[in-house]
Amino acid sequence: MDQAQSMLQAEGIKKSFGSNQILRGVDLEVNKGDVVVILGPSGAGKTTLLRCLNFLEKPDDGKLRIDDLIVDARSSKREIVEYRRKTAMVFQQYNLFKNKTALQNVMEGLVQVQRKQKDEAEMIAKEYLDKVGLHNKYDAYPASLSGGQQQRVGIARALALKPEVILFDEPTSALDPELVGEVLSVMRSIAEIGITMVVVTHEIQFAMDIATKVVVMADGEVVEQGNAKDIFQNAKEERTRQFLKKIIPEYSYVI
Amino acid sequence: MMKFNIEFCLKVIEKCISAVPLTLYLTLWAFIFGMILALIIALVRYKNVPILRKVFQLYVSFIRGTPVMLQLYIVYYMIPIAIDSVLIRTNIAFRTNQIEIKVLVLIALALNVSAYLSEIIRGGLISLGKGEIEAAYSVGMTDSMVIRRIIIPHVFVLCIPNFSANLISVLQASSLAYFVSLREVTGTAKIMASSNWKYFEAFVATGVVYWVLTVMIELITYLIEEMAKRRGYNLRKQY
Ligand SMILES: Nc1ncnc2c1ncn2[C@@H]1O[C@H](COP(=O)(O)OP(=O)(O)OP(=O)(O)O)[C@@H](O)[C@H]1O
Ligand SMILES: [Mg+2]
Repeated sequence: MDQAQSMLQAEGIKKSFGSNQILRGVDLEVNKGDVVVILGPSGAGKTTLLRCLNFLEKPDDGKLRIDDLIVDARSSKREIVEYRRKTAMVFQQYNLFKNKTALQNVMEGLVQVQRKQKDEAEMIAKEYLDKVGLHNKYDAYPASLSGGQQQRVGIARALALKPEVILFDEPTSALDPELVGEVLSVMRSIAEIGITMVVVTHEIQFAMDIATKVVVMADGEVVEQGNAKDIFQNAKEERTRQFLKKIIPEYSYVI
Repeated sequence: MMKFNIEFCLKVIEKCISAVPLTLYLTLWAFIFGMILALIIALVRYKNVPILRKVFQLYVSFIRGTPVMLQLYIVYYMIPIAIDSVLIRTNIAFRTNQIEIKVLVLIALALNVSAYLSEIIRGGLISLGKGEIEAAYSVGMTDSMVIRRIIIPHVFVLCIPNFSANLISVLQASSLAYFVSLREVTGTAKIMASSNWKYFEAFVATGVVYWVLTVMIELITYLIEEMAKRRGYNLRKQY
Protein backbone atom coordinates (compact mmCIF):
# COMPACT_ATOMS: atom_id res chain seq x y z
CA MET A 1 0.00 0.00 0.00
CA ASP A 2 1.28 3.44 -0.89
CA GLN A 3 2.14 4.96 2.46
CA ALA A 4 2.10 8.51 1.10
CA GLN A 5 -1.60 8.26 0.35
CA SER A 6 -2.61 6.97 3.76
CA MET A 7 -4.96 9.59 5.10
CA LEU A 8 -6.77 8.17 8.08
CA GLN A 9 -5.35 5.55 10.31
CA ALA A 10 -6.76 3.90 13.41
CA GLU A 11 -4.41 1.83 15.48
CA GLY A 12 -5.39 -0.55 18.25
CA ILE A 13 -8.69 1.16 19.03
CA LYS A 14 -10.26 -0.26 22.19
CA LYS A 15 -13.53 0.77 23.76
CA SER A 16 -15.54 -0.61 26.64
CA PHE A 17 -18.88 0.40 28.06
CA GLY A 18 -18.71 -0.57 31.70
CA SER A 19 -17.31 -4.10 31.81
CA ASN A 20 -18.47 -4.75 28.28
CA GLN A 21 -15.59 -4.57 25.82
CA ILE A 22 -17.03 -3.50 22.48
CA LEU A 23 -13.86 -2.83 20.47
CA ARG A 24 -10.92 -5.13 21.11
CA GLY A 25 -8.14 -3.35 19.27
CA VAL A 26 -9.25 -2.33 15.80
CA ASP A 27 -6.80 -1.26 13.12
CA LEU A 28 -8.03 0.54 10.05
CA GLU A 29 -6.29 2.29 7.23
CA VAL A 30 -8.05 4.60 4.80
CA ASN A 31 -6.38 6.13 1.78
CA LYS A 32 -7.35 9.31 0.03
CA GLY A 33 -10.32 8.69 -2.25
CA ASP A 34 -11.10 5.33 -0.67
CA VAL A 35 -14.65 4.16 -0.14
CA VAL A 36 -14.31 1.77 2.78
CA VAL A 37 -17.41 -0.27 3.52
CA ILE A 38 -17.70 -1.84 6.95
CA LEU A 39 -19.90 -4.92 7.22
CA GLY A 40 -20.68 -7.16 10.13
CA PRO A 41 -23.39 -8.60 12.31
CA SER A 42 -25.44 -6.50 14.69
CA GLY A 43 -23.52 -5.70 17.84
CA ALA A 44 -20.16 -6.15 16.14
CA GLY A 45 -19.14 -2.64 17.15
CA LYS A 46 -19.43 -0.93 13.77
CA THR A 47 -21.28 2.12 15.06
CA THR A 48 -18.94 2.36 18.02
CA LEU A 49 -15.92 2.27 15.73
CA LEU A 50 -17.34 4.97 13.48
CA ARG A 51 -18.14 7.14 16.49
CA CYS A 52 -14.58 6.69 17.69
CA LEU A 53 -13.31 7.75 14.26
CA ASN A 54 -15.31 10.98 14.70
CA PHE A 55 -14.24 11.14 18.36
CA LEU A 56 -17.87 11.32 19.45
CA GLU A 57 -16.76 8.38 21.55
CA LYS A 58 -13.39 8.59 23.21
CA PRO A 59 -11.39 5.39 22.64
CA ASP A 60 -10.00 3.90 25.85
CA ASP A 61 -6.84 2.93 24.06
CA GLY A 62 -5.29 3.31 20.64
CA LYS A 63 -4.45 6.15 18.30
CA LEU A 64 -6.20 7.95 15.50
CA ARG A 65 -4.36 9.81 12.81
CA ILE A 66 -5.59 12.04 10.01
CA ASP A 67 -2.81 13.39 7.82
CA ASP A 68 -0.25 14.29 10.47
CA LEU A 69 -2.64 15.02 13.33
CA ILE A 70 -2.57 12.23 15.91
CA VAL A 71 -5.09 12.02 18.75
CA ASP A 72 -5.73 9.55 21.53
CA ALA A 73 -7.50 9.35 24.89
CA ARG A 74 -5.06 11.88 26.39
CA SER A 75 -5.42 14.55 23.71
CA SER A 76 -6.57 18.01 24.70
CA LYS A 77 -10.01 19.34 23.80
CA ARG A 78 -8.39 21.61 21.23
CA GLU A 79 -6.72 18.73 19.44
CA ILE A 80 -9.94 16.73 19.50
CA VAL A 81 -11.91 19.62 18.00
CA GLU A 82 -9.24 20.08 15.36
CA TYR A 83 -9.36 16.35 14.61
CA ARG A 84 -13.15 16.37 14.42
CA ARG A 85 -13.08 19.20 11.94
CA LYS A 86 -11.24 16.91 9.54
CA THR A 87 -14.08 14.40 9.71
CA ALA A 88 -17.82 14.63 9.23
CA MET A 89 -20.54 12.22 10.15
CA VAL A 90 -23.79 11.24 8.49
CA PHE A 91 -26.09 9.67 11.06
CA GLN A 92 -28.56 6.84 10.83
CA GLN A 93 -31.27 9.08 12.34
CA TYR A 94 -30.12 12.13 10.28
CA ASN A 95 -29.74 14.28 13.43
CA LEU A 96 -30.60 17.50 11.65
CA PHE A 97 -30.99 20.69 13.67
CA LYS A 98 -34.76 20.61 13.94
CA ASN A 99 -35.30 24.31 14.41
CA LYS A 100 -33.23 25.24 11.38
CA THR A 101 -34.16 25.09 7.72
CA ALA A 102 -32.31 22.83 5.30
CA LEU A 103 -30.19 25.78 4.25
CA GLN A 104 -29.42 26.82 7.84
CA ASN A 105 -28.51 23.24 8.69
CA VAL A 106 -25.82 23.26 6.03
CA MET A 107 -24.70 26.82 6.79
CA GLU A 108 -24.30 26.28 10.54
CA GLY A 109 -20.88 24.63 10.40
CA LEU A 110 -19.67 26.93 7.65
CA VAL A 111 -20.53 30.09 9.59
CA GLN A 112 -19.83 29.00 13.17
CA VAL A 113 -16.94 26.63 12.72
CA GLN A 114 -15.29 27.75 9.51
CA ARG A 115 -16.09 31.43 10.16
CA LYS A 116 -17.28 32.09 6.64
CA GLN A 117 -19.32 35.19 5.82
CA LYS A 118 -23.07 34.61 5.75
CA ASP A 119 -23.51 35.18 2.02
CA GLU A 120 -20.52 33.03 1.11
CA ALA A 121 -21.81 30.27 3.40
CA GLU A 122 -25.25 30.57 1.84
CA MET A 123 -23.80 30.19 -1.65
CA ILE A 124 -21.84 27.11 -0.65
CA ALA A 125 -24.81 25.62 1.19
CA LYS A 126 -27.06 26.09 -1.84
CA GLU A 127 -24.45 24.54 -4.09
CA TYR A 128 -24.37 21.40 -1.95
CA LEU A 129 -28.11 21.21 -1.50
CA ASP A 130 -28.34 21.39 -5.30
CA LYS A 131 -25.81 18.55 -5.50
CA VAL A 132 -28.04 16.30 -3.41
CA GLY A 133 -31.11 17.30 -5.43
CA LEU A 134 -32.77 19.62 -2.95
CA HIS A 135 -32.70 22.90 -4.88
CA ASN A 136 -36.37 23.47 -4.08
CA LYS A 137 -36.14 22.74 -0.36
CA TYR A 138 -33.78 25.43 0.94
CA ASP A 139 -36.29 26.88 3.38
CA ALA A 140 -37.98 23.67 4.49
CA TYR A 141 -37.72 22.61 8.12
CA PRO A 142 -36.69 18.99 8.78
CA ALA A 143 -40.16 18.06 10.04
CA SER A 144 -41.61 18.82 6.62
CA LEU A 145 -39.05 16.70 4.73
CA SER A 146 -39.20 12.98 3.99
CA GLY A 147 -36.58 10.72 5.56
CA GLY A 148 -34.72 10.50 2.28
CA GLN A 149 -34.69 14.27 1.92
CA GLN A 150 -33.55 14.72 5.51
CA GLN A 151 -30.71 12.30 4.99
CA ARG A 152 -29.68 14.17 1.85
CA VAL A 153 -29.57 17.39 3.89
CA GLY A 154 -27.38 15.46 6.35
CA ILE A 155 -25.07 14.49 3.50
CA ALA A 156 -24.97 18.07 2.16
CA ARG A 157 -24.17 19.31 5.66
CA ALA A 158 -21.22 16.92 5.88
CA LEU A 159 -19.99 17.52 2.31
CA ALA A 160 -20.13 21.32 2.53
CA LEU A 161 -17.51 21.31 5.27
CA LYS A 162 -15.05 19.67 2.86
CA PRO A 163 -13.77 17.25 5.49
CA GLU A 164 -10.95 14.83 4.76
CA VAL A 165 -13.30 11.93 5.30
CA ILE A 166 -17.06 11.46 5.67
CA LEU A 167 -18.32 8.73 7.97
CA PHE A 168 -21.71 7.19 7.21
CA ASP A 169 -23.47 5.05 9.81
CA GLU A 170 -26.16 3.00 8.09
CA PRO A 171 -27.40 6.09 6.26
CA THR A 172 -30.30 4.26 4.64
CA SER A 173 -31.45 1.84 7.30
CA ALA A 174 -34.02 4.18 8.87
CA LEU A 175 -35.58 4.89 5.47
CA ASP A 176 -38.64 3.42 3.81
CA PRO A 177 -37.47 1.07 1.06
CA GLU A 178 -38.64 3.36 -1.73
CA LEU A 179 -36.45 6.18 -0.40
CA VAL A 180 -33.24 4.17 -0.13
CA GLY A 181 -32.41 4.58 -3.81
CA GLU A 182 -32.24 8.37 -3.80
CA VAL A 183 -29.78 8.43 -0.91
CA LEU A 184 -27.60 5.67 -2.35
CA SER A 185 -27.43 7.44 -5.68
CA VAL A 186 -26.26 10.64 -3.99
CA MET A 187 -23.62 8.59 -2.19
CA ARG A 188 -22.52 6.98 -5.44
CA SER A 189 -22.12 10.38 -7.05
CA ILE A 190 -19.97 11.70 -4.24
CA ALA A 191 -17.86 8.53 -4.25
CA GLU A 192 -17.26 9.16 -7.95
CA ILE A 193 -15.89 12.66 -7.36
CA GLY A 194 -13.24 11.17 -5.09
CA ILE A 195 -14.57 12.01 -1.63
CA THR A 196 -13.06 9.70 0.96
CA MET A 197 -15.79 7.74 2.70
CA VAL A 198 -16.16 5.16 5.44
CA VAL A 199 -19.59 3.58 5.24
CA VAL A 200 -21.33 1.16 7.57
CA THR A 201 -24.14 -0.42 5.58
CA HIS A 202 -26.09 -3.55 4.92
CA GLU A 203 -26.63 -2.61 1.27
CA ILE A 204 -24.54 -5.35 -0.27
CA GLN A 205 -25.05 -4.38 -3.90
CA PHE A 206 -23.97 -0.86 -3.06
CA ALA A 207 -20.89 -2.20 -1.30
CA MET A 208 -19.99 -4.41 -4.25
CA ASP A 209 -20.36 -1.52 -6.66
CA ILE A 210 -18.49 1.28 -4.96
CA ALA A 211 -16.29 -0.10 -2.20
CA THR A 212 -12.58 0.18 -2.81
CA LYS A 213 -12.14 -1.80 0.37
CA VAL A 214 -14.47 -3.97 2.42
CA VAL A 215 -13.87 -4.50 6.13
CA VAL A 216 -15.73 -7.24 7.97
CA MET A 217 -16.15 -6.82 11.69
CA ALA A 218 -17.41 -9.23 14.32
CA ASP A 219 -17.18 -9.24 18.11
CA GLY A 220 -15.30 -5.96 18.23
CA GLU A 221 -12.58 -7.02 15.84
CA VAL A 222 -11.75 -6.73 12.18
CA VAL A 223 -12.17 -10.28 10.94
CA GLU A 224 -11.11 -9.77 7.39
CA GLN A 225 -10.53 -7.01 4.88
CA GLY A 226 -9.84 -6.72 1.20
CA ASN A 227 -11.40 -5.55 -2.03
CA ALA A 228 -15.03 -6.35 -2.67
CA LYS A 229 -14.21 -9.32 -4.86
CA ASP A 230 -11.91 -10.87 -2.26
CA ILE A 231 -14.51 -10.61 0.42
CA PHE A 232 -17.62 -11.55 -1.49
CA GLN A 233 -16.11 -14.35 -3.54
CA ASN A 234 -13.05 -15.61 -1.71
CA ALA A 235 -13.70 -15.00 1.97
CA LYS A 236 -11.00 -16.78 3.91
CA GLU A 237 -12.48 -16.50 7.38
CA GLU A 238 -15.30 -18.71 8.56
CA ARG A 239 -16.94 -15.81 10.44
CA THR A 240 -17.04 -13.77 7.22
CA ARG A 241 -18.68 -16.60 5.31
CA GLN A 242 -21.24 -17.14 8.01
CA PHE A 243 -22.12 -13.48 8.04
CA LEU A 244 -22.38 -13.28 4.25
CA LYS A 245 -24.56 -16.38 4.18
CA LYS A 246 -26.99 -14.62 6.46
CA ILE A 247 -27.31 -11.46 4.44
CA ILE A 248 -26.97 -12.81 0.89
CA PRO A 249 -29.54 -15.57 0.35
CA GLU A 250 -27.80 -16.89 -2.76
CA TYR A 251 -24.36 -16.64 -1.14
CA SER A 252 -23.53 -20.34 -1.35
CA TYR A 253 -23.89 -20.13 -5.11
CA VAL A 254 -21.53 -17.20 -5.42
CA ILE A 255 -18.66 -19.39 -4.25
CA MET B 1 -67.03 46.48 60.54
CA MET B 2 -64.22 48.79 59.60
CA LYS B 3 -64.58 50.86 56.48
CA PHE B 4 -62.12 50.16 53.66
CA ASN B 5 -59.92 53.23 53.40
CA ILE B 6 -59.35 53.71 49.67
CA GLU B 7 -57.31 56.83 50.19
CA PHE B 8 -54.83 55.00 52.40
CA CYS B 9 -54.76 52.09 50.02
CA LEU B 10 -53.83 54.39 47.14
CA LYS B 11 -51.17 56.02 49.25
CA VAL B 12 -49.67 52.61 49.97
CA ILE B 13 -49.77 51.73 46.28
CA GLU B 14 -47.92 54.94 45.52
CA LYS B 15 -45.22 54.13 48.07
CA CYS B 16 -45.05 50.53 46.88
CA ILE B 17 -44.44 51.69 43.34
CA SER B 18 -41.36 53.50 44.54
CA ALA B 19 -40.25 50.18 46.10
CA VAL B 20 -40.76 48.28 42.83
CA PRO B 21 -37.16 48.86 41.69
CA LEU B 22 -35.87 46.97 44.74
CA THR B 23 -38.35 44.15 44.20
CA LEU B 24 -37.35 43.92 40.54
CA TYR B 25 -33.68 44.12 41.48
CA LEU B 26 -34.08 41.11 43.76
CA THR B 27 -36.24 39.21 41.30
CA LEU B 28 -34.23 39.76 38.14
CA TRP B 29 -30.75 39.28 39.59
CA ALA B 30 -31.88 36.20 41.49
CA PHE B 31 -33.33 34.84 38.26
CA ILE B 32 -30.22 35.60 36.22
CA PHE B 33 -27.77 34.10 38.73
CA GLY B 34 -30.16 31.21 39.31
CA MET B 35 -30.26 30.59 35.58
CA ILE B 36 -26.48 30.48 35.26
CA LEU B 37 -26.22 28.07 38.19
CA ALA B 38 -29.11 26.03 36.78
CA LEU B 39 -27.37 25.68 33.42
CA ILE B 40 -24.25 24.37 35.14
CA ILE B 41 -26.26 21.95 37.29
CA ALA B 42 -28.30 20.72 34.34
CA LEU B 43 -25.23 20.18 32.16
CA VAL B 44 -23.36 18.35 34.91
CA ARG B 45 -26.32 16.07 35.51
CA TYR B 46 -27.02 15.62 31.81
CA LYS B 47 -23.40 14.76 31.09
CA ASN B 48 -23.16 12.51 34.17
CA VAL B 49 -20.04 14.17 35.53
CA PRO B 50 -19.00 11.70 38.29
CA ILE B 51 -19.13 13.11 41.89
CA LEU B 52 -20.53 16.57 41.02
CA ARG B 53 -23.61 14.91 39.60
CA LYS B 54 -24.43 13.39 43.00
CA VAL B 55 -23.71 16.64 44.82
CA PHE B 56 -26.10 18.58 42.59
CA GLN B 57 -28.70 15.86 42.77
CA LEU B 58 -28.70 16.20 46.56
CA TYR B 59 -28.71 19.99 46.26
CA VAL B 60 -31.73 20.03 43.95
CA SER B 61 -33.54 17.58 46.16
CA PHE B 62 -32.85 19.68 49.29
CA ILE B 63 -33.90 22.97 47.71
CA ARG B 64 -37.07 21.57 46.24
CA GLY B 65 -37.87 19.75 49.45
CA THR B 66 -37.65 22.72 51.83
CA PRO B 67 -39.49 26.06 52.05
CA VAL B 68 -37.92 29.22 50.58
CA MET B 69 -38.31 30.78 54.01
CA LEU B 70 -35.96 28.23 55.56
CA GLN B 71 -33.43 28.75 52.77
CA LEU B 72 -33.58 32.49 53.33
CA TYR B 73 -32.85 31.99 57.03
CA ILE B 74 -29.94 29.69 56.26
CA VAL B 75 -28.38 32.19 53.88
CA TYR B 76 -29.18 35.15 56.11
CA TYR B 77 -28.20 33.80 59.54
CA MET B 78 -26.30 30.56 59.34
CA ILE B 79 -23.96 30.94 56.39
CA PRO B 80 -22.62 34.36 57.51
CA ILE B 81 -21.87 32.94 60.96
CA ALA B 82 -20.08 29.99 59.43
CA ILE B 83 -18.07 32.18 57.08
CA ASP B 84 -17.16 34.69 59.77
CA SER B 85 -16.01 31.99 62.15
CA VAL B 86 -13.52 30.94 59.48
CA LEU B 87 -12.53 34.50 58.51
CA ILE B 88 -11.88 35.46 62.10
CA ARG B 89 -8.99 33.02 62.23
CA THR B 90 -7.36 34.57 59.18
CA ASN B 91 -6.10 38.08 58.84
CA ILE B 92 -8.61 38.92 56.14
CA ALA B 93 -10.43 42.06 57.28
CA PHE B 94 -13.63 41.21 55.46
CA ARG B 95 -16.68 40.26 57.56
CA THR B 96 -20.02 39.12 56.22
CA ASN B 97 -21.87 42.01 57.85
CA GLN B 98 -20.30 44.13 55.13
CA ILE B 99 -22.50 42.31 52.63
CA GLU B 100 -25.71 44.20 51.96
CA ILE B 101 -28.89 42.51 53.11
CA LYS B 102 -30.39 42.68 49.64
CA VAL B 103 -27.43 40.73 48.27
CA LEU B 104 -27.99 37.95 50.82
CA VAL B 105 -31.66 37.83 49.91
CA LEU B 106 -30.94 37.65 46.22
CA ILE B 107 -28.43 34.85 46.84
CA ALA B 108 -31.09 32.89 48.71
CA LEU B 109 -33.63 33.46 45.95
CA ALA B 110 -31.07 32.57 43.27
CA LEU B 111 -30.17 29.32 44.99
CA ASN B 112 -33.84 28.48 45.32
CA VAL B 113 -34.80 29.13 41.72
CA SER B 114 -31.66 27.45 40.36
CA ALA B 115 -32.92 24.06 41.51
CA TYR B 116 -36.24 24.45 39.72
CA LEU B 117 -34.69 25.93 36.59
CA SER B 118 -32.10 23.16 36.42
CA GLU B 119 -34.85 20.56 36.30
CA ILE B 120 -36.59 22.45 33.50
CA ILE B 121 -33.38 22.75 31.52
CA ARG B 122 -32.59 19.08 32.10
CA GLY B 123 -36.01 18.16 30.75
CA GLY B 124 -35.35 20.36 27.74
CA LEU B 125 -31.96 18.74 27.19
CA ILE B 126 -33.48 15.29 27.31
CA SER B 127 -36.20 16.30 24.86
CA LEU B 128 -33.59 17.89 22.59
CA GLY B 129 -31.95 14.49 22.44
CA LYS B 130 -28.35 13.57 21.98
CA GLY B 131 -28.71 13.56 18.22
CA GLU B 132 -28.58 17.28 17.58
CA ILE B 133 -25.83 17.83 20.12
CA GLU B 134 -23.73 15.10 18.54
CA ALA B 135 -24.37 16.51 15.11
CA ALA B 136 -23.10 19.86 16.37
CA TYR B 137 -19.92 18.28 17.72
CA SER B 138 -19.47 16.34 14.52
CA VAL B 139 -19.46 19.51 12.43
CA GLY B 140 -16.58 20.62 14.63
CA MET B 141 -18.17 22.85 17.24
CA THR B 142 -16.45 23.45 20.57
CA ASP B 143 -18.31 23.00 23.87
CA SER B 144 -19.06 26.70 24.10
CA MET B 145 -20.38 26.83 20.53
CA VAL B 146 -22.64 23.87 21.27
CA ILE B 147 -24.01 25.64 24.34
CA ARG B 148 -24.44 28.93 22.51
CA ARG B 149 -25.73 27.67 19.18
CA ILE B 150 -27.63 24.50 20.02
CA ILE B 151 -28.49 24.23 23.69
CA ILE B 152 -29.44 27.83 24.39
CA PRO B 153 -31.58 28.46 21.32
CA HIS B 154 -33.29 25.09 21.34
CA VAL B 155 -33.73 24.23 24.98
CA PHE B 156 -34.17 27.78 26.20
CA VAL B 157 -36.70 28.77 23.63
CA LEU B 158 -38.68 25.61 24.28
CA CYS B 159 -38.57 26.31 28.00
CA ILE B 160 -39.76 29.94 27.81
CA PRO B 161 -43.24 29.18 29.20
CA ASN B 162 -41.74 27.32 32.18
CA PHE B 163 -39.08 29.94 32.76
CA SER B 164 -41.71 32.63 32.80
CA ALA B 165 -43.70 30.77 35.44
CA ASN B 166 -40.56 30.51 37.58
CA LEU B 167 -39.72 34.16 37.17
CA ILE B 168 -43.18 34.92 38.53
CA SER B 169 -42.55 32.61 41.50
CA VAL B 170 -39.32 34.44 42.25
CA LEU B 171 -41.20 37.72 42.12
CA GLN B 172 -43.69 36.46 44.68
CA ALA B 173 -40.97 34.86 46.82
CA SER B 174 -39.05 38.13 46.90
CA SER B 175 -41.80 39.40 49.22
CA LEU B 176 -40.24 37.25 51.95
CA ALA B 177 -37.44 39.79 52.04
CA TYR B 178 -39.57 41.89 54.41
CA PHE B 179 -38.81 39.28 57.11
CA VAL B 180 -35.23 40.45 57.08
CA SER B 181 -36.38 44.08 57.08
CA LEU B 182 -35.84 44.95 53.45
CA ARG B 183 -38.09 47.72 52.20
CA GLU B 184 -39.18 46.16 48.97
CA VAL B 185 -42.87 46.22 48.00
CA THR B 186 -44.18 44.09 50.88
CA GLY B 187 -41.86 45.57 53.46
CA THR B 188 -42.86 49.09 52.52
CA ALA B 189 -46.57 48.31 52.80
CA LYS B 190 -46.09 46.59 56.12
CA ILE B 191 -44.24 49.51 57.64
CA MET B 192 -46.94 51.92 56.52
CA ALA B 193 -49.67 49.72 57.95
CA SER B 194 -47.95 49.28 61.30
CA SER B 195 -48.53 52.97 62.06
CA ASN B 196 -52.33 52.82 61.74
CA TRP B 197 -53.13 49.08 61.71
CA LYS B 198 -54.72 49.29 58.28
CA TYR B 199 -53.13 45.98 57.24
CA PHE B 200 -55.99 45.00 54.98
CA GLU B 201 -55.62 48.10 52.81
CA ALA B 202 -51.87 47.63 52.74
CA PHE B 203 -52.09 44.01 51.59
CA VAL B 204 -54.66 44.86 48.93
CA ALA B 205 -52.20 47.49 47.73
CA THR B 206 -49.32 45.00 47.49
CA GLY B 207 -51.66 42.57 45.75
CA VAL B 208 -52.38 45.13 43.06
CA VAL B 209 -48.70 45.91 42.58
CA TYR B 210 -47.63 42.25 42.35
CA TRP B 211 -50.48 41.45 40.04
CA VAL B 212 -49.59 44.25 37.65
CA LEU B 213 -45.94 43.14 37.65
CA THR B 214 -47.01 39.56 36.97
CA VAL B 215 -49.21 40.58 34.08
CA MET B 216 -46.31 42.55 32.67
CA ILE B 217 -44.04 39.49 32.83
CA GLU B 218 -46.74 37.44 31.12
CA LEU B 219 -47.06 40.03 28.40
CA ILE B 220 -43.33 40.08 27.75
CA THR B 221 -43.33 36.28 27.69
CA TYR B 222 -46.09 36.32 25.11
CA LEU B 223 -44.15 38.71 22.89
CA ILE B 224 -40.99 36.59 23.12
CA GLU B 225 -42.99 33.45 22.32
CA GLU B 226 -44.50 35.06 19.27
CA MET B 227 -41.06 36.10 18.10
CA ALA B 228 -39.77 32.55 18.57
CA LYS B 229 -42.73 31.08 16.71
CA ARG B 230 -42.08 33.34 13.77
CA ARG B 231 -38.56 31.93 13.67
CA GLY B 232 -39.87 28.41 13.32
CA TYR B 233 -39.75 27.28 16.95
CA ASN B 234 -42.64 25.16 18.02
CA LEU B 235 -43.26 25.86 21.69
CA ARG B 236 -46.43 23.86 22.06
CA LYS B 237 -45.05 20.64 20.74
CA GLN B 238 -42.66 20.12 23.64
CA TYR B 239 -44.66 21.27 26.61
N1 LIG C 1 -23.34 4.08 24.89
C1 LIG C 1 -23.36 2.75 25.11
N2 LIG C 1 -23.44 2.26 26.35
C2 LIG C 1 -23.46 0.95 26.58
N3 LIG C 1 -23.38 0.00 25.62
C3 LIG C 1 -23.29 0.42 24.35
C4 LIG C 1 -23.28 1.82 24.02
N4 LIG C 1 -23.17 1.93 22.68
C5 LIG C 1 -23.13 0.67 22.20
N5 LIG C 1 -23.19 -0.24 23.19
C6 LIG C 1 -23.15 -1.71 23.02
O1 LIG C 1 -22.07 -1.99 22.21
C7 LIG C 1 -22.36 -3.09 21.37
C8 LIG C 1 -21.97 -2.76 19.95
O2 LIG C 1 -22.78 -1.71 19.52
P1 LIG C 1 -22.66 -1.04 18.09
O3 LIG C 1 -23.78 -0.10 18.00
O4 LIG C 1 -21.29 -0.52 17.90
O5 LIG C 1 -22.89 -2.28 17.12
P2 LIG C 1 -23.15 -2.28 15.57
O6 LIG C 1 -22.15 -3.16 14.98
O7 LIG C 1 -23.24 -0.89 15.07
O8 LIG C 1 -24.58 -2.97 15.49
P3 LIG C 1 -25.82 -2.67 14.53
O9 LIG C 1 -25.56 -3.37 13.24
O10 LIG C 1 -26.97 -3.29 15.27
O11 LIG C 1 -25.95 -1.20 14.40
C9 LIG C 1 -23.82 -3.41 21.54
O12 LIG C 1 -23.91 -4.57 22.35
C10 LIG C 1 -24.36 -2.23 22.29
O13 LIG C 1 -25.36 -2.61 23.19
MG1 LIG D 1 -24.82 0.33 14.34
